[in-house]
Amino acid sequence: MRVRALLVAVLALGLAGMPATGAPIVSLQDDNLVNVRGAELEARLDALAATGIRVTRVDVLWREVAPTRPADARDPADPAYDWSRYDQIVRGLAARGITTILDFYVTPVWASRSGERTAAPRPADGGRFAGAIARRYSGAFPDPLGGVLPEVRRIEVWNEPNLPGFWRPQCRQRGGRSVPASPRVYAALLTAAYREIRAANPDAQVIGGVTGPAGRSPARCPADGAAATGSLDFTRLVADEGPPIDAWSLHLYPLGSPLQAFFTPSWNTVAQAIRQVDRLAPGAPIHVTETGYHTSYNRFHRYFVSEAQQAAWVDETVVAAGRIPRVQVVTWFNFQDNPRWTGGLLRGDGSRKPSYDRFAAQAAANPPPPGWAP
Amino acid sequence: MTVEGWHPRVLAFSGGSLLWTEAATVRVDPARIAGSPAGGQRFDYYRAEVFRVGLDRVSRRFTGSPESAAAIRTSIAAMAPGTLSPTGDGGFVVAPESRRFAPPVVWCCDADGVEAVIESDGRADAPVTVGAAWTGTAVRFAQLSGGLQSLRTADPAGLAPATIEPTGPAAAPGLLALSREGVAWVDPADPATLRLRGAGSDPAGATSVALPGPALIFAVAVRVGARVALLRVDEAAPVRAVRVWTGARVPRVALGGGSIAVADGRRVRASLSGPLRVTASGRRIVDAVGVDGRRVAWIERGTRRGARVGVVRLGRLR
Repeated sequence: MRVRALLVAVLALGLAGMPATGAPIVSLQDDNLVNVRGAELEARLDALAATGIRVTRVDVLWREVAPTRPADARDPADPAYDWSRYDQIVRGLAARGITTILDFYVTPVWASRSGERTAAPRPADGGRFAGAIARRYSGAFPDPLGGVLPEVRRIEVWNEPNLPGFWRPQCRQRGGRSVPASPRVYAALLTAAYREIRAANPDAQVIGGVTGPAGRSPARCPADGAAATGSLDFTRLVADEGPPIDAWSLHLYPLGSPLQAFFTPSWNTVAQAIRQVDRLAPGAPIHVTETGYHTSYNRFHRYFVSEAQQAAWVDETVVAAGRIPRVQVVTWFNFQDNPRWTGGLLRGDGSRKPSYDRFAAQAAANPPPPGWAP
Repeated sequence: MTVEGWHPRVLAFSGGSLLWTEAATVRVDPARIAGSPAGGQRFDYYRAEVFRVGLDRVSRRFTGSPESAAAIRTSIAAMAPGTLSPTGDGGFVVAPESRRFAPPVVWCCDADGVEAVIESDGRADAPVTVGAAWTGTAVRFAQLSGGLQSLRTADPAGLAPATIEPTGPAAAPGLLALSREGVAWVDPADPATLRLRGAGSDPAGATSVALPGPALIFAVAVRVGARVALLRVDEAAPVRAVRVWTGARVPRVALGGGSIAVADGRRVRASLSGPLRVTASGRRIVDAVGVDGRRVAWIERGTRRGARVGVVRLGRLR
């Protein structure tokens, strides 16, 4: 037993700070950034920067930015838009030398038939909003505080559009079987968003997919269409539609360690997703913009590990990603625990878990290459 | 009705449903799973899962197939089924146990079928829950930490603040139990005395019940020489311990609706009062038993096409 414990310790030390060739950029998301303002936001940005990360991901909640329909949705200066919290976030991140990846979701009441937050948006509306984001953060748009707002060159189109918690309907029951509905509509959104983003900022990179962790698609579709579409099925069906992309994103929350797990989706199944992505854009980079491990049970995530395992698996995550040269970015989700999410590097009370130091070492060892500066 | 495997299980009736918690080590082998990608390795994880199946009006038949009502999965260490306390409407409080970490306490469920996590602490030195019960309006659970025992109460809806009550001397895992009305424990330093008190009452006012030997678990089982005796301790005055069963090993015990039942080899013994009588004889070893007044359920071992299965049966106390 003692020999085994020693071997584990040596392995953990061996993995730590390993600047592997082809290692991905190690990134971190703080989903609470969008919930705070003013001095509290600045304090959170300082805390995020203290981890040593140089890349982060920020959710733009469309419903909050555009509670009413803008007269000119492409124009970020339209009075219907309220960008104030995002201006402060993007400005604050750039000032701290952190590059931002923006994603957008949460459908406004006016942008879908049902008015639900999770309703699939009309692709043209979603595309115009994506264009407004790209235009506002193109590096040339006037900052209300003076000067210009920083540039954001990487925009993800939606968040986990294969999960009913973010996109409905996922499927329809037809002829006694479930027919996926979300991939086709999402592909239309991706096409519209790509066109609008590139028109606003030709240097911007459009990231599609952003698939959430779901294995199999349902055999029967519930009446409300609220059943997850398997991430691999979703990727294949979107690829069938042929929308343009610059990169593809997926989210991995493996059951088991990063190197051992093989249920779809996990690090061992990324190659299967890559085969589908190559049908859209051969050689396109893969971004894993969410991954992590929970350290206690919650009803949204029933699988959890110990804090010691989480720390060790931060290192293993980077090793697993490094084995797939196409993976360019790995974003740990999340910075701090909350009642719905216990996969943070910090506990709910702000104290550090053992994973914090492991993550900081990996972030320092895997900085972004030139071209990723904010 | 059959269920997979001979896993450790605890059974309970809850209204018109039968529940069981099943604890298992899940061995994941890519060689046995079709479509597994190259590079996948064998690994284990652990689960404690509560299943629920409907019963007919007289609890003689099952009315459907079992459904998973709560599933706790981890890579930390194996769990035991622990406590499964019914709430009387198909709901329950589940508190699995582990020697290596502190599993969560989960209440299920509200009108929308949404569970509430009563306690889930991922720290390495988190307090360990050793018993849990539904009071009718809240979940009461006992925790051990650093040699201290605390009794906590939490409202699943989160409307009332959580409370911590002082309790008596620290018990040990297996030496404390909770009921709807009270708490019973045995101080390891005084193993032949059972202490009982109503929740919320003064710990100094606990009733002491002399046992004929050192206690092992609550129901209450005590070691008497080389044998194990099962005692019934009713909370109504005068409080005394009545021997209802004697055997060679600590049996699987169930309590509910004033009845007590044990799985005794191939037999199920149960009674509403007095000594336990044979209620059913299985073909093979009985692994789990549940009781609620006159309703009895048990799971006996079986095989089907060479695979291990559990056979779930229903009966009645006469």
